[in-house]
Amino acid sequence: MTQTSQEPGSKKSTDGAALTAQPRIKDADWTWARIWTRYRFAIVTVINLSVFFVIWQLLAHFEVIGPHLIFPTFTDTLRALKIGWFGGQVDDGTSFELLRDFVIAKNAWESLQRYAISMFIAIGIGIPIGLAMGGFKWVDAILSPYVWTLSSLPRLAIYAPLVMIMGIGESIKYALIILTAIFPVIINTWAGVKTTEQSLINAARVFGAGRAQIYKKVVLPYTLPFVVSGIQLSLSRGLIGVVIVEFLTGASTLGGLGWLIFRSASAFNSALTYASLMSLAVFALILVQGTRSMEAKIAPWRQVSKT
Amino acid sequence: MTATGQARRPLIVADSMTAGYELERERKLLTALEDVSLTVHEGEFLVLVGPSGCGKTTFINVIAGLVKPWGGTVTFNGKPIDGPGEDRSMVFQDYAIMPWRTVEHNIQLPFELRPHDFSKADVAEKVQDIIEDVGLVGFEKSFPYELSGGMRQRVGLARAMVTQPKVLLADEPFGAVDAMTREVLQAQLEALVMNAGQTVVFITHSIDEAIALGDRIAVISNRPGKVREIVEVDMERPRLAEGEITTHPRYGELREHLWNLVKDEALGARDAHHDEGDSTGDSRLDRLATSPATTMDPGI
Ligand SMILES: Nc1ncnc2c1ncn2[C@@H]1O[C@H](COP(=O)(O)OP(=O)(O)O)[C@@H](O)[C@H]1O
Ligand SMILES: [Mg+2]
Repeated sequence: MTQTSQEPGSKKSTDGAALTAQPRIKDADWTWARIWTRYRFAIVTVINLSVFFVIWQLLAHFEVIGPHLIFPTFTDTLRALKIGWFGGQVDDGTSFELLRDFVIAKNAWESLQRYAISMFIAIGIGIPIGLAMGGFKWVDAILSPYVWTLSSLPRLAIYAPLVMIMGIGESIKYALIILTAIFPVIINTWAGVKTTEQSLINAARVFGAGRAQIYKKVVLPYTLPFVVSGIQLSLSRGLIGVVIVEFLTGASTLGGLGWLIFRSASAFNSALTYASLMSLAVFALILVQGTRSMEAKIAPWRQVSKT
Repeated sequence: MTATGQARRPLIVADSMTAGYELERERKLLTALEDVSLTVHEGEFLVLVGPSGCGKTTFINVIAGLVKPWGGTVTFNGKPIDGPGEDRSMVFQDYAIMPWRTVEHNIQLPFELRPHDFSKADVAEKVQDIIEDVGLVGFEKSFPYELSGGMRQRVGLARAMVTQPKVLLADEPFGAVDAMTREVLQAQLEALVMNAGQTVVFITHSIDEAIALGDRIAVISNRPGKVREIVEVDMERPRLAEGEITTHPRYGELREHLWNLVKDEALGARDAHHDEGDSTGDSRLDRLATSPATTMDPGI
């Protein structure tokens, strides 16, 4: 291995020279040790997942957990994934009515639309509510009993009274998803406004800021990272909401991914259940990872002391 | 800049001023300053020293227009102080620079907040000039979190000086800065205000800093604070440009005299109350980095 050019006690970024210095790490030879240090996380993950899937396959194949109706093999699940997403012939008797061409894709699209619209509404309403509650005492006084009660209440409990009012239709789905998702945005936004550093506000006032400018130049930028983490939380809450709501309201054909999971399970099409579940898991994973990097990009100054 | 000799025109006049805070939780009124009369003359460098919690910050905030006095009068140029004004700017103990703004954008903030007649290019030039004066060249595009405490306070100083205000208020500006950087910053500050002929009100808890910088030093007594004594520093300027000022013949005498005054007050203060803690800039950034409020939200 070639030695990298590293000064002793490597300089901090406060040091002007370090910012303009040449890259410290030069190209090194490819050795197994280097490949390992660089890719060990990926390698471990691949091994880890392979072992997981093999064990799954063995457990299912020998029906350790239960018959195939209850616990599908990994290969059957893969096949259900392929047909559910990309279409294909269902050739033998192992499949049930539900597993048709593109069935997962169609239901996923259904859920995604519902989810996206609800989240837009939840975030679009939640941020202004949080800002108003943080900024105006009387808005806070009026709204906080409802916000705190509803946010502490398990949202499923509101389902029954909501059904009485709205009936079972598309609108109740949106209402319930929005209700599950909206509070983290409201509360985080509110907290951001409330905790804005007094000394930053004082500084702005000394340099001439009026009330409106204090909001624009201090409170809003200070609150932004709080809003971002509120949105992150809300996005995962909303996802729970979608699945629950699709389960509760049911449908005859196209009920969404959540509906498909429950419906296929009650039809004992376990391969489809697991295929839908895996699809949902991948989507959730992408969502979480995507929003995680969002905060670092929007508010780099908040990352410093964490590392 | 010299305290003696010239005709001294009163610029800021506090007359039997009382100020304090309403403690909402305890439903009490806390008197921070009682019956304070103090005159700041045009062009002088006035330093306030006193035990912590005696109301120094309150006093400077009254002058800044951030805190309204309860009683008595405080005038600036003959007019009662009613809120902040462009003739007074301030350097804060915890820097109070915006973490989401780069160095140059922080320094340019006063021009964004107050209407002015300068063109964009003029503002940019002023910002660049002050960046050179305080030694921040090369860091224009850096964010505060990339800077050391001393560097951050240079930003605070530059922001306060960029508009060439008549009065500079400074609340323990170098309190959280390491000793070596502090000396550099003190010398820079002296040079800056000598150049511009500013009037300065400067708080410190360091007697050495007070003697190094002040034309006059006002010793404030325990809470509720009053002016206990005003000490003239009869040492010529510039004091910090070269060499040691501690070797100056007057230095030892002044230091001992001030030390006795402050010691009395500090010993008295020990039983009076425990300090609420003067926060440093670093802890502010730490707090920024902690995650926002988590809630009792059950999820679904
Ligand atoms: N915003 C505030 N609310 C309530 N009490 C305050 C506030 N700021 C300062 N105090 C109290 O007023 C007194 C004087 O504080 P301060 O002026 O900050 O003193 P110093 O700067 O001399 O340490 C202290 O007892 C402090 O606790
Ligand atoms: Mg103070």
